[in-house]
Amino acid sequence: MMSDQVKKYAIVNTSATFNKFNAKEALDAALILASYEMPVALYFIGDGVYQAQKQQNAESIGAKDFIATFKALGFYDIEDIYISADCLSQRQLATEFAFTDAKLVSKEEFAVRLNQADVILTF
Amino acid sequence: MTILHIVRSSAFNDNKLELCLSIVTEHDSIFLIDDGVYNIAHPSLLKLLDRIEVFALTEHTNARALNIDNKKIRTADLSAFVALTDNAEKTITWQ
Amino acid sequence: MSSFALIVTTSPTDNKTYTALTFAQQLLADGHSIIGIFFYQDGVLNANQYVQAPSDEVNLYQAWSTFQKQSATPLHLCITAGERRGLTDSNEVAFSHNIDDHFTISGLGELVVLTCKADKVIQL
Repeated sequence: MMSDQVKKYAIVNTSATFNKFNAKEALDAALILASYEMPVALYFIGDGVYQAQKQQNAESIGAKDFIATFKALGFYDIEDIYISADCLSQRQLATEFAFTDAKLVSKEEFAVRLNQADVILTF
Repeated sequence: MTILHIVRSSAFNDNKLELCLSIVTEHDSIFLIDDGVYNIAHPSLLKLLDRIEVFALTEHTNARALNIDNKKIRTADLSAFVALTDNAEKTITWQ
Repeated sequence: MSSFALIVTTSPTDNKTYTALTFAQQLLADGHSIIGIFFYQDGVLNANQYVQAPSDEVNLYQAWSTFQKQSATPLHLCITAGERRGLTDSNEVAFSHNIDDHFTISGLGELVVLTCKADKVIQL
C-alpha cells in the first residue's frame, strides 16, 4: 500500500498532554507517517508545549506513559521537533524536554518551519 | 497565497485564534467558519485586518445572526470557501 | 479541478461535522473529486449505526451513509480510534457489529495513502 509520492508532514500539537486523547492520537499518526517513510516534523504550540516537558508521570493519573515514546522518536527518523519559545516562557516552563533534541524556536521561525510542510495536521 | 488558516472556534472562549495569529504571515489568509465566525468582533483579529485577508462563511454568520459591517472582512459562501481551499498551497485547521 | 482528501475528527453531536459534510458535498458540486474521507479521533463515532436522532433533526450518521451511497466516496474509519470509542467489527458473542456498511474499516496507513495522493488535504 506504499504510495509512490513523498510529502512533508507537520503534526501540530496544541493540546496539553492529557487533554482528551489529542496528544496520543497525534503521536500515533506521526509514527505511522514515519513508518511509511514520510518526512514528519512535530510542532508544539499553545498548551501543546506541556507535552514536551520532562518527568511527567502519566501512570499516577491512570494514563499510559506515551511520552516515553518521545525519547525514541529518533528511531522513527523523526528528528525535526519544534517548540514555541514564546508559549513555553508564557507558561513559565523549564527547557528540560522529554526529547533528546528539540529545537526551541521563536514564533517567526515556527511559522517559517511550518511553511516548509506540504500537509499540516493539528491536534 | 501560502497558507489558508481555517479558524473554527471563538477566541472569546479559547486561544486557537491567538495561536493562529501568532504565526500567520502577510501572504496567508484566514477563513472563519463554525464558531470561528464570532471572531469578526474580536480585538485581536480586528487589529490585523489591514495586513491579513480575512473571510467569514456566509452560511455560518447567517446561522448565528451575525452582521458584518466591517468592510475589511470579506464574506464568502461555501462554494467560495471550496475555491479558496483549492487555490491555497495548503491549509491549517485551528479547532 | 483538484483531488481532495478530507479528515474528519468531530463527533455526530458536533455541528462542525455538518460543516465537513456540506464541504464535501460542495466539493463534488463544484467539480472536484474526493479520493477519500478519513474519520479519526471522535470522527469515528459518525460510523456508529446505532446513532439515533429525533425525526425532525439531521442524523449525521445517516447523512454520511446517504452521501456515500450517492457519491461512492470512500469513507475510511480508523479502527484503532473506533475500538477505543465502542465501535467494533467483531462478530463474537459478546459483541455486536455496529459499524455502518458504508464505511470502510481502515487504519492510519490509509491516512498516509489518502493525504499523500490527494492534491489538497483539508482537516475539518
